[in-house]
Amino acid sequence: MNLLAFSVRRFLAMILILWVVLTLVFALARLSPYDPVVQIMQQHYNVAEANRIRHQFGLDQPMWKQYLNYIAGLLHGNLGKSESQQTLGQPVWDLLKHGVPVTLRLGLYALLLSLIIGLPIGLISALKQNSILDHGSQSIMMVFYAVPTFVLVPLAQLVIGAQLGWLPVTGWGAPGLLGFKEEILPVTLFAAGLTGYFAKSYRSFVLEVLSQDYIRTARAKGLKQSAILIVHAVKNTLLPLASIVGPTVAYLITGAFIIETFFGIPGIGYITVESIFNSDYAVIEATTLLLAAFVVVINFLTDIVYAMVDPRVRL
Amino acid sequence: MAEQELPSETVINAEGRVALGDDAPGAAAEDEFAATRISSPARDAWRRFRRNKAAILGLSVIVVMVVMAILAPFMHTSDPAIPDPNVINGGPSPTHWFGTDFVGRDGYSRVLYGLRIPLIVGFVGTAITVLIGTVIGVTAGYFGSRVDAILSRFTDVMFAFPAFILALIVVSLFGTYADTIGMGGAGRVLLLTVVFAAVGWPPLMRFVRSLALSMKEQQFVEAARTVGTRDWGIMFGHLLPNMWGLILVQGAFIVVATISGETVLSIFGLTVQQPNPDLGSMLYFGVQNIDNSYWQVLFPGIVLAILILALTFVADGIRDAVDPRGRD
Repeated sequence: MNLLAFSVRRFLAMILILWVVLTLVFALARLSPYDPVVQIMQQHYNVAEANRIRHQFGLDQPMWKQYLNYIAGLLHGNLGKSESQQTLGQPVWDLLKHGVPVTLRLGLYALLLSLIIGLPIGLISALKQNSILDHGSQSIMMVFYAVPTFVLVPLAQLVIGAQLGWLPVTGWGAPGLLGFKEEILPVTLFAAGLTGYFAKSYRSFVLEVLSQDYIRTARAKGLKQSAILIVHAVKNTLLPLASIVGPTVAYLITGAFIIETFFGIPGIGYITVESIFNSDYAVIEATTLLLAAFVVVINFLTDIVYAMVDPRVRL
Repeated sequence: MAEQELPSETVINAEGRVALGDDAPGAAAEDEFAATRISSPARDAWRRFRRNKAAILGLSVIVVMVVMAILAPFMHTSDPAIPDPNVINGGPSPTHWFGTDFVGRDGYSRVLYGLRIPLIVGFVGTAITVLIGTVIGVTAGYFGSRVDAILSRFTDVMFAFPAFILALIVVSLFGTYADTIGMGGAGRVLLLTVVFAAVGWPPLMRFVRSLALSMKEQQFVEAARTVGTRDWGIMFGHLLPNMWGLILVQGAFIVVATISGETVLSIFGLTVQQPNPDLGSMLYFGVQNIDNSYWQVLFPGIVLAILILALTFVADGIRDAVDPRGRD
């Protein structure tokens, strides 16, 4: 199969999955026993007014018509309207759009930091295999990897923030030096688990490549160690590396929810968790759609990139 | 190591004989050794597991925590749901070992009861999800062709949907309703269990399917088919008994993931509602109060860390015991 045919097939599969996702969200929202109109009106509830609102939002139409309206709305970028008391009737997207750049920045910083720290550690561990350096660093990385973010964050906030007072434990986006200091703790803690994962995985990728025949050939023909590493070894670890960086996106989303909630960073995760506390279900549905779509699209792109680099995948 | 373990087994197996007297237990051990030491994959795996100190330590910790969670009504020092207004945000003391929270409820008692929800959701949810994944996977792998195509496409779609987000939306949409169907948050616990059971199985299905695909071509399956064993008999009588070790390994890691997922949802306020305790929500409210009461973060945090690490050690131990070649 050529690359184009493969891409088209994957693209159609992606569209199918997106359709299933949004249908599932619609079905869950309609099946749930909670009624948005009751939620909005609360103690002012009366039947006539409720029916008027239902008519206004098209909730009195048959289910299949509501479903078509919903899909037509999504195609026009309408993610629904807020149902909580404070922000009643505002388009959900207006609430979420300020969070998008915050979450993306947080995730990108964490991903970059974990790659910058994790990959060299993995490389050095592999080159000094079974040395004290290798075992020591791999044990530390194992701890980073195994201790979950939701335990690491509160304990770090407690010790570094509250007890020692070195860094602020809440806030985001302050100007100047304070803004930088605010970012250190969340980004570092976010990156910790990923750093451990990358260091562990990259070590085994490098070891795998170093045991190949072509490395021995390169040594035999007298290439310098640095040339062997850069030209032959590191280059051939990039493919397996790409295959593990793509799927970390799903981890980054869960991680962003935890980090933003604990640090009060106004990203998508924080806004969504706030809307859980406020019973603003429209926001939760919109976030579900956005994040699911994001993950599905990233998986699609990973598949395409992978197929470009490794033709065997297209079979 | 193997020799040291011998006596304990022989005593159990040779109870009648040893009761005759304390002379020559060694001879009895020798006899029984030949009779009882029939090697089986399960027995070999258990022997390897027992030698793994980290795994045994982890297992002991989990057993202790499960016992504490079950016996919480006998071990608590005060009612976990009833606040004492005299000691709001009180530090650790002889009456309140883990301090008190922002309305004056006892931290130690809340940790005891708070263990119950992650443990129930983790173990029961995983058991169900493993059952679903195994049945679908072995069916798809064994029958192949159209059955496989349908089941695999279904799994692909479920696999692509981020499990955490699916759990998040289902629990937020149905949680309030679930609270109304049971006493003390039982409905919510049931909902959490079902949700994690429903979202966790796709990776396991793929794994079991690939095992079934490779195994069904082997001779013992052919032999079973030759003597007229039906398809279901081959799947459950011949394929599954050869897989359960590897499935157990996956299951152990799913427990870790499920308990983590439950904790994250409870940090977001989606677990049993106040005043019922859950470790994750204790952690969340502790952080809201972090500047003047370290104990509200420290104790639930450490208990959760120990629980997750113990589970990870056990999962690693099971993996090394079932498949020793997979070790680094």
